[in-house]
Amino acid sequence: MKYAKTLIVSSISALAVGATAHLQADDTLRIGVIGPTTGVFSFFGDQQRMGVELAMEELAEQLEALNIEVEFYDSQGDAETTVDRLRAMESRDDVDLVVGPVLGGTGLAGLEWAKGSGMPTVISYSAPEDITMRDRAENVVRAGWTGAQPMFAFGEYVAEELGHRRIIAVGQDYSFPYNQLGGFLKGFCAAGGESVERIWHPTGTSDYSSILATLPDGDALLYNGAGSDGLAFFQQYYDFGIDAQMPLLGGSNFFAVGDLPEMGEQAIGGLSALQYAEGLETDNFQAFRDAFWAMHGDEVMPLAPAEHGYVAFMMAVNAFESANGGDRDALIAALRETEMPDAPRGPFHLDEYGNPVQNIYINEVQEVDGRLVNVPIETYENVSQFGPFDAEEYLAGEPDSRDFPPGDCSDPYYD
Amino acid sequence: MNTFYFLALNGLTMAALLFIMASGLTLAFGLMRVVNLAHGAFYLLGGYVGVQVIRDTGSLPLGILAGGAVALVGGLLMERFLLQRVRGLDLSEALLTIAVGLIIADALLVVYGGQPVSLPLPRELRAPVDLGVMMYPYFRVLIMIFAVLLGIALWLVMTYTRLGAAIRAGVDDRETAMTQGINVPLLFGGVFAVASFLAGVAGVIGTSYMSLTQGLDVRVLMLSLVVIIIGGMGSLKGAAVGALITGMVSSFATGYLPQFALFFLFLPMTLILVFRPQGLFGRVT
Amino acid sequence: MKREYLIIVMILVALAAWPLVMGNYAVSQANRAMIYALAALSFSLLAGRLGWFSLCQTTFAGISGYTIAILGVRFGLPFPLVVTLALLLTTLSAVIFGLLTVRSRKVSFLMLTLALGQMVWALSFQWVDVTGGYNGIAGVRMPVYGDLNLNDTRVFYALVTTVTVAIYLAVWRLYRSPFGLLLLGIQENEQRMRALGHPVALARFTAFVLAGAIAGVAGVFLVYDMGIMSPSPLGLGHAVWVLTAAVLGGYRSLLGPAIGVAVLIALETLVSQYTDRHMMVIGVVLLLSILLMPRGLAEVAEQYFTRKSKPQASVTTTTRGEEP
Repeated sequence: MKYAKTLIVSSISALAVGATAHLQADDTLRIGVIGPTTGVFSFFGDQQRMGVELAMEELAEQLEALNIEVEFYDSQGDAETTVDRLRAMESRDDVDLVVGPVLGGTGLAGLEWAKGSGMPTVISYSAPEDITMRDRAENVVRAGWTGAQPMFAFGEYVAEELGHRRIIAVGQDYSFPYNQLGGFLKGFCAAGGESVERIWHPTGTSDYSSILATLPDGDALLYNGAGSDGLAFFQQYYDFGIDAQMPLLGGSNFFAVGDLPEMGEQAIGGLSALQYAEGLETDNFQAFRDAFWAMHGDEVMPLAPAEHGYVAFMMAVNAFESANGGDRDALIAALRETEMPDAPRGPFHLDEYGNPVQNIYINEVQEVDGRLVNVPIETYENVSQFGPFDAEEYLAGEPDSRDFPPGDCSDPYYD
Repeated sequence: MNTFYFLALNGLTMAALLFIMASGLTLAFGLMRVVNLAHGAFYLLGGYVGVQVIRDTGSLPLGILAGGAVALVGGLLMERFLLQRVRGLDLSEALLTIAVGLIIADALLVVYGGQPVSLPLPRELRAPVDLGVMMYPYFRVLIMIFAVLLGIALWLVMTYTRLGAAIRAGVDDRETAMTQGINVPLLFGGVFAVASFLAGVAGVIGTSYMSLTQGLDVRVLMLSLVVIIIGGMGSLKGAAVGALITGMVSSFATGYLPQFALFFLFLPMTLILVFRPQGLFGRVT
Repeated sequence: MKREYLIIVMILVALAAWPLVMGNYAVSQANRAMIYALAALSFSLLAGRLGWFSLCQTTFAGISGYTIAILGVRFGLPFPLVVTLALLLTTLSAVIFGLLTVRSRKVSFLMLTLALGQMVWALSFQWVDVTGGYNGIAGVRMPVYGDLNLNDTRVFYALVTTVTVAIYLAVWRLYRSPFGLLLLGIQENEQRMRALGHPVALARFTAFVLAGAIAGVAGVFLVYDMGIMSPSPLGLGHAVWVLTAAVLGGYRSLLGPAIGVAVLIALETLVSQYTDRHMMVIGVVLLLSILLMPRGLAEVAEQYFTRKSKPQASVTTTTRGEEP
């Protein structure tokens, strides 16, 4: 018993020393990659990690030449943990550049921290628009998207090509779906749509039968949500036969992330919009996908979070290369100049606010080689985070919220 | 009027599922004063394993049994190797179950990943049937029937069988029951096994309704707690009534005021706590 | 008596020396440790004195944090007013929760606090207009007074450490006051205390509100430390984390919760460099603490240093019973 206690006490002392030990500052450049690899959102973090690992393999020579080390951190999908890990990167692990975070909330927490720290940061999948709009910081750029960005085009497509006039929009009640619907409305109303009626439900709702029972009439239903909520909504939509009354359209994450295999063949024909499509047939994309499969096995489909992690990492390494080292100002300047003509998703460059100007694909779910994939059926090129609108004007306007912009296209707001 | 029936049926389905979830929890608590806070994790465990078995074999009943069985084994192991060490210390038992719940949930994340998983139900089960007042999906009707049968079976066993009498005796006076030749530890192990089995079964059945995902364990635990707090901890009848109240209120709230659905989910519980803290059918301790 | 003051002086010296000898990250970890030590103290006050295991102490910290984020960021109220209102509102919620739970015992108290805490968590997640939902409210900053920037890691450390030490000392006094002894008495034999004419229910309720207020102070520092308030600190994970820390350290003693938090943070920091299985780590730590060390590290340490089998009634007051 005495030995057991000695053991406990000494191991705790060892713990305390080990946990606070510091890496010495040296010539090594370090990239810290942060994403949720555990918890509810681990799918996104795992995808990002796999994308980064692929980029590390392809860039192995540059990494060695520049003496770059890569360290992965788990944000647990939690803002507090994210900030803690970021602090560890800066003051314990001597990291020079951060790739991530991945999720909306952790992205905002990361931005908040990066503003105070000045750390060069490449946000990957995290989509709150203010990261590169109203709250933008010089040292933070984004490799991904804003929630509204793909939806401007989708609204336009739904009004012009599908001819829908009245849309019922059901969505998870938080800022990302607000932003998605905001973009949709702005595109939809400009292209001749009439109205969008919004129904918001709390995140984590598992039973939609009562919402489905009280749906108003419309030409189509747009569901803005993903994960277990999206999957449950999708199934119950078909269980109750609503698909016979109104076709189901998806927000950007609905058919796109992870849930597609679970939806089954009923999903075929489902339409959504994103700056990415795993059914792309360009050479750049197929090379990326094949390399991804060679590395991680072909049962895992590389989806947008993986590509965004891959591209964000490449942007980081390019920045180190043109800055010729880890000087912060040079790195930030190089990041802001990023042009990626050969990205798997298609060419893009950053606008002056630090967000990609890129292709938006209208995707249709199709069965290809025995698996469900999003195949692009229409491409809108060079779409910025402001869509067809003037940046200054857009920034002066109100941010999207639960009931803004107005759901009625005849509202004076749209004139 | 059609909407009214629709919402009522939705409320009944949810109530049925809540009852299946909460029955195991309330059973173990009522008989052994053990609150199994790993209940949600057992639900998740049963659900993942059950869905996998259904995918591999194509048999729904086999999947439900497998989900129940694996949770049963988990429950037995936990009872035998952990809970028995601290028997009689209510809080230690509860805290141990929290720890076990964390470990199981994290292990499931390693094995099954973070993506939501849904139950591949055959088309004929998803198809709507005519209930007289309206068409309603067949499997939802089955969930309701299952819940009613389960409730009746549990009630019959507890009230009319020797086993039920032995269990009740064991709860009321452990020492006397043991002198009467009742093997109380074995009995309690059995009850705990049944309770875990029910959690696993609920996991498979519930997946036809809400997809399995990380974090669902906590939600299931919370819903079950709400139900048994309303009904009175440990009371089977209370669990049924609590499930009905929660299901109905939540369904009508979701239909008419979706943004406040959650508030209405907790409203009955709060009212009960204020006006009848032991729950509708709970005994004052 | 002398020993106790010696321990206190040693701790104070160590706390004062920490920011002088350690790097930035270690100091920011110490800040987190202080915050959670307060939360764990709030938990231990109820668990150690009344046998009430609460899973909603972090909820009080969260309510306090949200009040600060909403009033400070959205309405731009001045710092002292925001903090005062946050503590008032937290105390008020503790009063409400206390009224709902004061009649329950042991396990039913645990279940009630779990359900109530989860209810507030769900509200914080879903009442988007007020809380910002999952994304939370960003941009929570301490004020800058001339050259004194309270957001600076080391300045913040000085502040949070002073407050934490002060609260620990106050609770130490409380544990030895007639009120503290009454709480212990209630845990031991409620009937007798009632027969002796003590206001049992009122004492319990007061302790609950007091613990809620301490958690509220933790919430104030938590939100300023992170700069963002989101629902996650209100989740079950954080509540269980605090519980684990308190059980690991020994919730019956004064220093137990602080020791538990320090060890758990050190362990997590170390483990997170090798594996992502932090939930499992917490689970295993909790499991082993209950089975092997029901009285926590505080007592193991005390026995180690005093080499006496009999625990003495000192800074680490203990009571009868092996639960957990």
